[in-house]
Amino acid sequence: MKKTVILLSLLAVIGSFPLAADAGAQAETLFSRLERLAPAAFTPSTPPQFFGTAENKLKDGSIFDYMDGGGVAWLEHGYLEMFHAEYAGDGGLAITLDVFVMGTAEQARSALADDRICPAGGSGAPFAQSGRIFRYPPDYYTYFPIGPHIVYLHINDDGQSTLLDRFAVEVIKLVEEKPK
Amino acid sequence: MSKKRTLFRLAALAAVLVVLLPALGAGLFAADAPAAKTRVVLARNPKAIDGRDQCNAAEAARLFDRALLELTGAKTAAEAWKALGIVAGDTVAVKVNCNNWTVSLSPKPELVAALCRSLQAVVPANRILVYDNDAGALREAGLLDSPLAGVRVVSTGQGGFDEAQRLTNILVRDATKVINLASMKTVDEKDLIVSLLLKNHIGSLVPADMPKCHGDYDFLAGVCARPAIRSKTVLNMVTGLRATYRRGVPWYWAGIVLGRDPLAVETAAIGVINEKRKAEGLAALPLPRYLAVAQEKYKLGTCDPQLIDMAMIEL
Repeated sequence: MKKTVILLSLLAVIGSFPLAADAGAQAETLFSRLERLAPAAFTPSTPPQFFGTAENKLKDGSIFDYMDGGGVAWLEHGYLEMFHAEYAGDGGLAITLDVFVMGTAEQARSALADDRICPAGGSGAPFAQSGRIFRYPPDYYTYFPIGPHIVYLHINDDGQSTLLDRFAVEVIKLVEEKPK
Repeated sequence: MSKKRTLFRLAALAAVLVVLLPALGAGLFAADAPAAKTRVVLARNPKAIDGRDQCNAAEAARLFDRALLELTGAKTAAEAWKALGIVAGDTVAVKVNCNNWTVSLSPKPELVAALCRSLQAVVPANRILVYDNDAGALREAGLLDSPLAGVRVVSTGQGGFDEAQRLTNILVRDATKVINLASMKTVDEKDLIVSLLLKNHIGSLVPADMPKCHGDYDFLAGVCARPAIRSKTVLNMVTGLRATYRRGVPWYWAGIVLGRDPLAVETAAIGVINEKRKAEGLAALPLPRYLAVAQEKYKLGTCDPQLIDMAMIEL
């Protein structure tokens, strides 16, 4: 009886931990799926990179290694880790994809409402609710939330914005896909 | 004998007074005399860049060359660089900032090439080092390509770091003169606000020290007071061919700001950003607190507009 109680207590304790571990494991699954993704007719120009926090660095370090001081605002909104990829297309076209893993969907939404992260202005994204698109020639970029994730996509030629919009739809599908 | 000695003493006293009085006088009057103004040039050339971030090499060179002469009052590039203290035999390091997230504000290779060509009036190309902390970003900015032929383009870590000053050896060991070339970037972070000249040298630090600049005004201000930067810097320049007036939102100001005093140049550049913000109906950015620390504690220059002699050029 005593043993059963101890065993059940242990299971309860172990069961209370996995929040962080689950987030990590799911993110890992998501990241490995993202690694296989590329926009049509583009190829990865560099190996994908993975950044965590100062306390929990991933393969390529922390968010500060990626965006320097801009990382402070992200951390204030519960940032956990991120995936970064760059793709090259014909004629010097380049697409950047970042997927940020936040603690919760609420934190993702509050991060996007912070203009230190997502600039004010822009216009609504046709492919994602609460998403914003920004056209500053020659740049075209977008931010949008998917549950606890924030996606940032950029293309270096706003004349090719439909390519980015199409890729955004693929990214949404992949992030929303349940891990197998 | 005693008379002779007295005469000798009087003569000696007179001689001492003749030597010391002018210096004493100068010292006494210095407190009342207005402090000398530091010159800052704000130069624009709308032909240097178009609305799609394409830089015109000839117009960018015209912009830089004209601004340099305006700053120094010289008639030729060689005279101008000599007026700034550069002599044949110097090795000149140019710190650029290519770490630009969201929209690219990396210095245009055409502008950096114009600066390097101008420098070659005094020093050969192989004694000019253009550097930043990320080799990949230098490549993406196009600085590893042909426009800078002959100039060495390197990353901060190449050659290691000086342990005493915690700075790249490019500054401490290799360079005899330094040019700080920052990009006009608004970051809208509560402690930084902008990323200009003082922030630019964070990329000269030992990587482990880089995060210390966030939330620590004294640390950030103090970097440029380290001997290799303070004693070797001859020119401070902010490029705003393309700039941001709020985080991630660019505009084509099509100009550069340059001067000897880093704080005066940074103050003038913030003035340019604030003019744009006013036009867009946004509140003006305050002067970052690290600038006050740099002025008061480290005596790196002045942020006082009364002490800045601004010259405007419109090409």
